[in-house]
Amino acid sequence: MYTETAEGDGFLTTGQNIIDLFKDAQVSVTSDIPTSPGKSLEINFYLMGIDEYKTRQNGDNLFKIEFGEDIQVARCSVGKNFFWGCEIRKSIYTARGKTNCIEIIELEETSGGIRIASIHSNVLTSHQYECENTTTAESSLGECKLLDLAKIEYLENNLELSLAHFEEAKSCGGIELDSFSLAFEKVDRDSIYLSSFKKGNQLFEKGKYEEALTYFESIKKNYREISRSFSAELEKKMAECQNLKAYFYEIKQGDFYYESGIYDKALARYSVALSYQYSREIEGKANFCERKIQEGYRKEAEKEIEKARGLILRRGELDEGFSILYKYSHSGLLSGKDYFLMAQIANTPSRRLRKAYNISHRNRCLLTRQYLLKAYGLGFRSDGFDIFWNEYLNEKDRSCD
Amino acid sequence: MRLTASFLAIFLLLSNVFFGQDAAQEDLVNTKHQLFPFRHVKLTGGFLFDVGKVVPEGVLPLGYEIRDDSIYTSSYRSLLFLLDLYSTDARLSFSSGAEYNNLKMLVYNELLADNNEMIINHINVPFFIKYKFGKKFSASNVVTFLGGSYNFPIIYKNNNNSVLKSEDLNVLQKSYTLSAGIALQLNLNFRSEKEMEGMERTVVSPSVSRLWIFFRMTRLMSNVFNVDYQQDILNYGDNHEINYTDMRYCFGLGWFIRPRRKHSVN
Repeated sequence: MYTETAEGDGFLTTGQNIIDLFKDAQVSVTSDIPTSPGKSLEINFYLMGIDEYKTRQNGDNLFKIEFGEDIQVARCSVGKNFFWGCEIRKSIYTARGKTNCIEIIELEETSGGIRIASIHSNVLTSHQYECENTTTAESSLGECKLLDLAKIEYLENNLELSLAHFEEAKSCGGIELDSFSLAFEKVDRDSIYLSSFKKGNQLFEKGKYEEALTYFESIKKNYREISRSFSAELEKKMAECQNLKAYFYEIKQGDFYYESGIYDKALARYSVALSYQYSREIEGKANFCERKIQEGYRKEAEKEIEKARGLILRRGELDEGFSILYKYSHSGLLSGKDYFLMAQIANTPSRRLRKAYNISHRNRCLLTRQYLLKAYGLGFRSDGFDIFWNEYLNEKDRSCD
Repeated sequence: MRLTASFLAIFLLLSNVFFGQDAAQEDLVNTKHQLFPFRHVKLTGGFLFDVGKVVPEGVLPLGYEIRDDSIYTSSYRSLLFLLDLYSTDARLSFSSGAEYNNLKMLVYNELLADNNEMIINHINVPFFIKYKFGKKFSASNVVTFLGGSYNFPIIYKNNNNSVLKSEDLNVLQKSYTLSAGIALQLNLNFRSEKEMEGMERTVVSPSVSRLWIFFRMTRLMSNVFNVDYQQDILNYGDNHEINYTDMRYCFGLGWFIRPRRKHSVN
C-alpha cells in the first residue's frame, strides 16, 4: 500500500502510475460521475485534488487516502457498450472510519492527452456493469483474459496487435485451445512482425509515439526469432520514440505552466526537454522564464492576484477577477479565500465565463465544489463560507449528485 | 403619528443590531440576480404582524356613518403566517399562507342614536408576489410586494348601544382584498457561540433570517356584508343599501425563519 503525499503533475503515459493522472493540472472530468446514494464521499476526493490532504488530531477534518498498488486494466461492459479503464482499490480514512471502495476509471485519449471520461465507484452492481480484468500492473500471474483482446483486434483486422495479445496470453498460461487459437498458431509471424514494425514507423513519422511504442514493444516482447540486425534497429527506434515522447511531454507540461505564468515550473520542464533535444524555440522560452524569475514574477503574480480580489470584492468586476484567479489556480499562490471567491463566481457564471471556461450545468456544480473543498482544505473558514455552504447551496449542489 | 414614531424607533434599534452582524457579507460575492431561476429555491416560513388605520369607503344607509374621531377610530390588525418560496439568486419570490385579521368599527347614526360597534374577524388566504431590490448578499434589501387574498369571515359581533345584537356569521359574506406594500428586509446572521475549556471560541452554524419592516395598503374590494341577510343588519335602513369596503394602511413587522442546519464539508 502507498499513500499519496506529494504534489505532482503530468500526463499519464504507459508505465506511469495511474494515480499521477489525478494530480495532473489539466485533468478534467468530462462527464457525469455516478455515485450510489450516501456514498458520495469517495468521488469527492477526485474533485478536491489528490495532491493535498490534511490530517488533524481532533478528527473533524481527518481524511487520508490510500491506494492499492494492484491497478488493473479492466474491460467493462454495460448493455451493448463497453469501455476500457483502470480498476483501482482505494481506502478512505475519515473521522467516521474507513471506507473501502473499488473504482473504475474510464479513460479516453484526446489530442490533448489522456483524460478521465468518468469515474464509477461502488455502483458496479447497481448499474449492472460487468468488468473483466485483462491484465495486472504487476507481473503477477493469474487469470488472463488477453485472448479476448486478441480476438477483438483480430476481428478489427489489427493482426499485429492481435498477435501481440495472443503471445502475451500464451505467456500468462492456461490459454484455451479453441479454433481461434489453433488457427492463430499457424499465422506467418515474421510478416506480421515486419508489418508491426512498419506500422510503428508510420505512427512514429506522424508523431504518435505512444502508439508506435505499443507496436515496437509487442515485437520486442514476443518475436522470439528476431534477427540481431532487426533487434538493433528495433532498439534504436524504441529509444528514439521514447526520447521524443518524453521530449514532447515535457514541452507540453512546460507550455501549460508557461501560459499560466508559473515560470519556475515551466523552466524546470523546459530544462528537462532540452536535455533530450535542443530546440531554439524552447531555449528561448526557458530564457524568458529565467528572466521572469529573476525579475520576481511571483511578486507580480501576487500583485495581480491582489488586484483580482479587489476587482471581485470592491468593484464587482467578476469576470475579469475570475479570469485572473483562474490563471493562477495551479500556481500555489492562491489562498483559501481566493478559491472561495472563485467558487461563488463559478456557481453563477456570466454568459461570457460560461463560454470561456465551459462552465456548463454539470461542470458548474463540479467546479464550484472543487473550489469550495480546495478553500476548505487550505484552512479557509468564515461566516460567509458557512452561509454559502450551509444556507445558499442545497444538497444537490453540495454533492453534485 | 405615535405609530410612525414607534416604527422608526424599532427600525433604528434593529439597524444597530444588524449592522453589527455584517461580517458575513465581507467575502460573499454579489453575483447577478435572475428573475426566478429554479436553482437554490428554498421554502421558509414567516410570521408577519401589522396594525393600521382603516379608511372606510362604500355606501351606508342614509344617516349612518363610520365613526372616526378622537372618541372612536376604526382599528385593524392582522397576523399572517406565510410560506415563502424564494431563492437568493432570484428577484422574484412568492408567498402564500393564512392570515387572521381583526377589524373593529363603529357604525352609528347620530340622529337616531343608533350605535353599532362591530367586530369582524376573517381568515384570509393570501398570495403575494415579491420583488427584491439590492444585492444578493447585502445586509438589507428593499422588497415590494403585490397580492391579494380571499377572505372567510369567522367572527361577527354587533354591540348595538352596548347590548349584543347579533353574532350571526351569515351577516357577512366571503370577500376579497388586494394588497401592495414595501418592506425593508434585513438579512440577519445569528451565531451561536460555543466556548469549551481549553479551546478557542468557535462559531457554530450561523443562521440567516430575514426581518421585515413593512408598510402595506390593502383594499377591501367587495362588500363584506351579505345584503341578502334575512334580518336587518342595521336597525334603520335596508340591507341592500349597505356596501362596505375600505382601504387599510398598516405598518408591520415580519420574520422569515430558516431552521439552522450544518452540513459537513466533504
